[in-house]
Amino acid sequence: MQCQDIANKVTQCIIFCKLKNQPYTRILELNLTNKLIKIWPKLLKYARSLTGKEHSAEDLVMEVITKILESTERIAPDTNLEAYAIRAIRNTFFNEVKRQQKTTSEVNDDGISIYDETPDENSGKFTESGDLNKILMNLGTKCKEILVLFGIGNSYKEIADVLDLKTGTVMSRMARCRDSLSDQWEVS
Amino acid sequence: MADSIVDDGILVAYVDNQLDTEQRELVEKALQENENLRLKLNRFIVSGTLLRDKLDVSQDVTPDHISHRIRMIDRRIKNNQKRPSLESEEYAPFSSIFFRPHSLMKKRSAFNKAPELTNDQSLKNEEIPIRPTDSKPQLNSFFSAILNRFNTNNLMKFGGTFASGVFCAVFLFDSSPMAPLAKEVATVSISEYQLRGSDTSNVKLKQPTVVQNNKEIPNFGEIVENESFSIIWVSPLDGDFAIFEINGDSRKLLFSGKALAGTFIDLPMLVFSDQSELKLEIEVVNNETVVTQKMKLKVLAAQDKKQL
Repeated sequence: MQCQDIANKVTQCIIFCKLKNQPYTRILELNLTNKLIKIWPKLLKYARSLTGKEHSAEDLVMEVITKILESTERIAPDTNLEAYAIRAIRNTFFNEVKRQQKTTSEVNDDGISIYDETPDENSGKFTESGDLNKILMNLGTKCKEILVLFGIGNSYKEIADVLDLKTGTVMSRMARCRDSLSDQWEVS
Repeated sequence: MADSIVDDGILVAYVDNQLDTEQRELVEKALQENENLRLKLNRFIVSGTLLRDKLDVSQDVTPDHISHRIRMIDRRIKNNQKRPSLESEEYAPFSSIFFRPHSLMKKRSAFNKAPELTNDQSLKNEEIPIRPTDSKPQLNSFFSAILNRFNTNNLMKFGGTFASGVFCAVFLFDSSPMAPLAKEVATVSISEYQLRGSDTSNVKLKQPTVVQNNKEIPNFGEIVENESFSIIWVSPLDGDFAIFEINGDSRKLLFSGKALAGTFIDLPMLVFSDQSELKLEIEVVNNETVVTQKMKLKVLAAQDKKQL
């Protein structure tokens, strides 16, 4: 079968779903699940940088994955799933922080959750880069986020997309945060 | 000059390979001239390597129990979505039968007992039994007994059962007497569709479509000759289907096979040449109904396509 024929078949499937009044993203559903499984380590690493705890991070990622699977209709076939999921993790986490802020006074003014003050160093891979994580915890949420997103392999443009910033802002923030990281790393 | 343009942001982007060629050249020029920039560059290189080494996930694999959990979540969600609620359209025809609103039952109870009752009970529907035995006129005959027993509800039930019994009985003995009659009874023509048969009310038609070069081409559209295309068609019936090419009065069979209602029929790719127009006829037949769907397409020569 030639490329053009395959393209025609894909269009066929999409039109078929339209005819049947089914969301055509259903075609990609299996693919979506596999993609989510594949990007799980990245999502977990990012969630861990936010929560500071292995178990909370795992719960957070699972919550977001459930939300994504529940609303596959909203995801267009060309969506960058990784960026979408990271953004969802971020939003879910900060919404939870805000909710906690309303109910308790245990969250400090920087918007950082109580999780940050008690990083879980005895759980899994978190201890492998323990020193770096300690430093990241001291850098504040903004720096921590941008450095972790870069560390797990995102480009500046992807980071800008996730954090809803301009690329120029990402560059300047990255420089500032890398400076702070270097300072603290040298001290430690 | 150049180092005044190269700030820390651009320098760190240079280290992380996020700049285009032009910007890179500018930074490299500035680095040659400025010692301070080179020191900063080294710091950024060290911190970048540190981050990538410590946070690298390229070798990480999702644990099996997590993969399993994600698949289970996916399966659960799909199962929940497949099961329609009682209010959904899928159950609509049944809900009208089995889930009659309470208010309707009250009205029906009032209707059943209505004119004969003159006491206060007739004004209080909630307290009245649905089928009060003393509400019918007392006739001392065989027919009065039958009338008492056969109220509107019962008549409908017995009538339905009797009719379905007769219908099945005809087919048990011989299906042929009904078949020709059935095809003559209803002949419906909706634009390019033709429906014939006794039960055409449940036939849900979808317009067949042609796909060529990744484009959806509707009926009366244009296709290009010598380029492969396929027909997308959802069968409205369970039965045998056949796709014909119409050429004047003759029909040439292209494909045939079995079709299931509501399912997508995957047809092979086609290529046409040396003709200005393509007429297709899709026919599905079962014991009761014949559905014919027609398509007409203009065939463009490859040169015409280039001109367009």
